[in-house]
Amino acid sequence: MSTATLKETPLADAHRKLGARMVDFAGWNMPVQYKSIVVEHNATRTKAGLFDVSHMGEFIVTGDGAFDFIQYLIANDLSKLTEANRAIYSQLVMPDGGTVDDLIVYRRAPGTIGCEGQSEENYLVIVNASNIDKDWKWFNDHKAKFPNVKLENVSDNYGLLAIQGPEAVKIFAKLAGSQVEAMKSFSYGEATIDGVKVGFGRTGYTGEDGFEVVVPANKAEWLWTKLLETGKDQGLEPCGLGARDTLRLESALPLYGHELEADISPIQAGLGWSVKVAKGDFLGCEALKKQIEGGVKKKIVCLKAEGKALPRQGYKVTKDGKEIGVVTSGSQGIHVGYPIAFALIDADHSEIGTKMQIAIRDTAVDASVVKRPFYKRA
Amino acid sequence: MGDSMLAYPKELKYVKSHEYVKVEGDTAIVGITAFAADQLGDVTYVELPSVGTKLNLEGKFGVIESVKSVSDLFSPVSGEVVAINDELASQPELVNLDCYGKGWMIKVKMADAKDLEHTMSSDDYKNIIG
Repeated sequence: MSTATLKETPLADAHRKLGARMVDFAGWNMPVQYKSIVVEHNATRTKAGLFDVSHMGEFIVTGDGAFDFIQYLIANDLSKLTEANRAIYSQLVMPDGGTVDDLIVYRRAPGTIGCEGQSEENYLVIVNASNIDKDWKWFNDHKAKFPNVKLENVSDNYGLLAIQGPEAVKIFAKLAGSQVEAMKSFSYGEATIDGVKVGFGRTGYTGEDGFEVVVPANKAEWLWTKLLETGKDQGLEPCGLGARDTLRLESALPLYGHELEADISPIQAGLGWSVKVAKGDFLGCEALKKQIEGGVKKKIVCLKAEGKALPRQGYKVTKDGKEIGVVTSGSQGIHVGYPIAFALIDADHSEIGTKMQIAIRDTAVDASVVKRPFYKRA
Repeated sequence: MGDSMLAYPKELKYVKSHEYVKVEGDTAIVGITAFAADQLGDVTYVELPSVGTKLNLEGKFGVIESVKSVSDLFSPVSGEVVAINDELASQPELVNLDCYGKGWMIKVKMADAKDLEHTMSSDDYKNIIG
């Protein structure tokens, strides 16, 4: 396989130096693992893990009408962010209810990283790597009604690192200052580390506490190395996309292209808590309202499988020999210790406790619908 | 890749599908190579045949799953399965830790010693995995 056409993050050399196994992920040459997925998964659950997520996209939205514009694009209610430096999880939804992407929107104070010298608040939007081009087009295609909104795609200007796990906040505080320990979940802050300004949200994609840190691209490798050195004694491990995937699945966090898709709405994905149809008109509002009121035919559920064979994406789900759905993500639940999966199945069978089977090669393996998430931190 | 660190003992025979054979008299001890174990990563499950199962040359004898992927296992020799490594049921990670020792998979009473003509030496195997 040629890697000539793959994009690389500012950390690609650092990954190779650490002996990472690199793979093509959505057109990016990314580390799938350093030591092993199990080692990295366990480090993040019990100590801390450091992830390069620089492949994700960052858009900055400013100007008059920025609030109304984003409020029109997303399904969550942006007015929940009652002050600057707070973030919200949401989705971009098509008029038919299908999902364009899921993302995090940060409402930030004037002059924050990427908006230096400005006197107005701004919004930072972080989107999935695989959807940067599609989302950028989506934002621009819907901007006509908001002529004074300014959009900037700054994805290539910044690296994004995630430090996650029970020790993550303490490790990060050693560099960014002890004030970060008091930050609330989904809040945003900035700090200057050795003269380099970084921005960070108390967010993540592992089910653990921690931060996601925005750093200028040319300082990303420096920060990566500095964090690894700082966290060494607390057991901080560099982690690849392999562990990122098993961690998010165990925490029942959806992944675009699996549990969210052009034909899977946020309601079907079980993200109704983040859909606010009462907030007023937005893209997809009518379709989502109908789904909430009238129900949906297919839903994403969490399945616990018996035995040791692992459910994987694309495997069929059956009940009494009849096909009722398909696995969208599956793996070993490394911390919980049994095989787990997300599946898109007929809503009639989606109640907690419902028994069904997953076709794993030649065997119908017993599985049952369980409460999400599989793993929740204490 | 770091594959140069992986070992391919001279006394073993190898096949393209990344199994090895250790010959002891008319018995073949079969497992997967260090290259295969490394590529799979954390092994979570090894499905093995029952003792007494008759295997064809290059026939499927089991399945190996890791967190990352799943692969079929193919027998480098024909014959009858006379033992399986029960330890792998509770400790599949032995395949990663010690693929040529405690991570062995099956013992096959060989039906035809000529099957070994299809296998490769350690050096030839190293060449094909690059």
